[in-house]
Amino acid sequence: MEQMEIITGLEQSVLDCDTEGARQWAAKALEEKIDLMQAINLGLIKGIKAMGDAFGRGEAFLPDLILSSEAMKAASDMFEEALKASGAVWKATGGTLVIGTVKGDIHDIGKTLVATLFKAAGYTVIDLGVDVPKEKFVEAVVSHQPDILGISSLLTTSAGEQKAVIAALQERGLRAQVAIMIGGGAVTQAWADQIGADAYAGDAREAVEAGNMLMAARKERSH
Amino acid sequence: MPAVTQLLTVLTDKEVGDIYQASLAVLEKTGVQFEDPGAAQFLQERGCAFNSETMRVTFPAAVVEASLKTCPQSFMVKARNPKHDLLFDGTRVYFTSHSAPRIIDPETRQRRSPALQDVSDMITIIDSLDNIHALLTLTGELTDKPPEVGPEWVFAEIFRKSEKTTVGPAFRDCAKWIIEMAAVAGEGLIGITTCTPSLYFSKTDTDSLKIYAQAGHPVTVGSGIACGGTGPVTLAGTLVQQTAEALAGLVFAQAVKPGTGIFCLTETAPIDMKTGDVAWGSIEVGLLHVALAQICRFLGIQSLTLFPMTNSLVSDQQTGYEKGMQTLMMALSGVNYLTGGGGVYSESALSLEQLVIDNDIFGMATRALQGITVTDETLAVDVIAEVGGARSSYLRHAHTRTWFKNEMYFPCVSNRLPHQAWVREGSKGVVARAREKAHDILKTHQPAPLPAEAERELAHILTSVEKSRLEKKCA
Repeated sequence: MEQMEIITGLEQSVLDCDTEGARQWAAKALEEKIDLMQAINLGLIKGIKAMGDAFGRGEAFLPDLILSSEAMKAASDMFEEALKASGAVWKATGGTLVIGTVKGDIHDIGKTLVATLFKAAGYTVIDLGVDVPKEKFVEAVVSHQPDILGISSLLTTSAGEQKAVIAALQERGLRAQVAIMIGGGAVTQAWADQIGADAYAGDAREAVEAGNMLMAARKERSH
Repeated sequence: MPAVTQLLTVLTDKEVGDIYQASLAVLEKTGVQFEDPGAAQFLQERGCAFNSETMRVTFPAAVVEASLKTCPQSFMVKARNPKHDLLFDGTRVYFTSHSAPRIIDPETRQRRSPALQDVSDMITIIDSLDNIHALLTLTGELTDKPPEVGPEWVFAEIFRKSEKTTVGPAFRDCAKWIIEMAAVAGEGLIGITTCTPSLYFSKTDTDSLKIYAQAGHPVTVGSGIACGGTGPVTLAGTLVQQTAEALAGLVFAQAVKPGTGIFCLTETAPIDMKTGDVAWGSIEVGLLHVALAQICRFLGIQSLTLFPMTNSLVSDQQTGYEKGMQTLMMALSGVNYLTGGGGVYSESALSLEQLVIDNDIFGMATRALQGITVTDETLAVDVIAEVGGARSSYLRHAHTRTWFKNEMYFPCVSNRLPHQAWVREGSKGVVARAREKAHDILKTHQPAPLPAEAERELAHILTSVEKSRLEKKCA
């Protein structure tokens, strides 16, 4: 089978929100031993990016975007495993985001939307889910070495947890290695300044814009 | 759109029967005055009584009931594009645009008379809006056409620029020209004729009714009563008179051509006793129309209204709540054909942005009418079993993606953006967004053109109209 056919199949499965199809094409990609980085960048990411753009134009809807991202994840999990097994290191071109909703807050939709739009922008995204304790955020920073950590809180009562996550990173001496972005209904720029976050975003689109700016700043610093 | 939900009612079955019986009593005792003795004699030959001194025709109940029996239970009004055909079987609710003599200038926001380009813009916007199923438009004289032929120019433009159906007016003597034009475009019409309250039929209306019915088009009968002025102030009394006026027209139409499709039309609203103006946007209009739908279902005919409407003179909250509430009541009661889209300024003007806003109101009403679908799949017991529980989200389940478009209506210009995004988009209100949408449509929407041959025939008809009117003027 042609490499291009598989890559197009992956892209189309993501666009069609077809998780089963994505798995089948991923299996073919592994079988045919095609270049997995190309399968990811030209297949999966191209698909999710098109879906993200359609969402931005109001042509695709939240369930399309999220299920499209699930289809992408089904294939990329298989690729990641294969890459790990072969000892290769996979890092997406757009940087890595770890994201989660803080402990005491189970709100998922806004955080998931942010995670998905980051994927659409070419980031590797590790979504820790909801009701995430600060220790888990810290562990994820250690294990995934993300460029950006996104901490979400919709509730005023749980916004204090965002501060606690930052404090825990400082305690472990990890604060300097990761840019921190906060968001969610309870959060304002003033709160971000107060707790020492690097960026605040009012909605998912702003979050990706802010993420890109944080990445640019990091690259500049590393040069 | 056929109703799925239980229809809204305000009258019991007995009350509907009482109103019908009362209207029969009015027709038998008081009767209806006819301007045209020919029309009156025509009815006399068919079992009605005619007093040539008072010009009153009285209708025996048996004649009315026999005429009701020849009304068709369902009929179609064909559009140039079959996807815009309108099927009238008593269960459908269609929304159309408003008919008015003037326009709100898109730039100055002032009310003014329209030019042909304004008519064309209106038609283009209506043609593109999904929840407006047919079109009425500007009815007055055009500033850039001879006054004798203004309406025909408007209709020629409608047939050229839209694939949706329209209605034919009774005013002047345009009926025969409009019928010719509709035939050229391959479209059906609804012939709009009314009784003049109280209880008077003009020659213009009986003539037009005859022309439309003979040409095989369905017609409207009925009236626009100002409760407390041209009809009783009580809503029940108004319904009695309105039904009597409609039945008089119905008997006439069935006498002209049995089997003619019949709509009971209303433009009825109370008089505002503070100003003497008509309370177009009143909630009583909503009540009267729920009753209209019930009475029409009882009679086995279609209901048609020139509402929703507002008394507000600007696009503001009053416009929104008056038109919104009336629309919802009318739709949920099953009125078959609502106009009103784009109408503002106490029914006297059309506004581009209001058309876009009303398209959303109509879409919401259509959604309300569809009700709630209950099947094994929508009950979703299996999905709940898979997803239910803390920290889970149905957003990730395919069931959500399969069903959300069916379950939810997506308004076109209502704001649903949260604060940040709304600010980023310029912190605009709905009127500003609707205005932008209208401009976008004018830039992008290309109505399907008529075949060249039909274009030539329309132009030819316009020349004939002009010639005939100017000859009449000289004579």
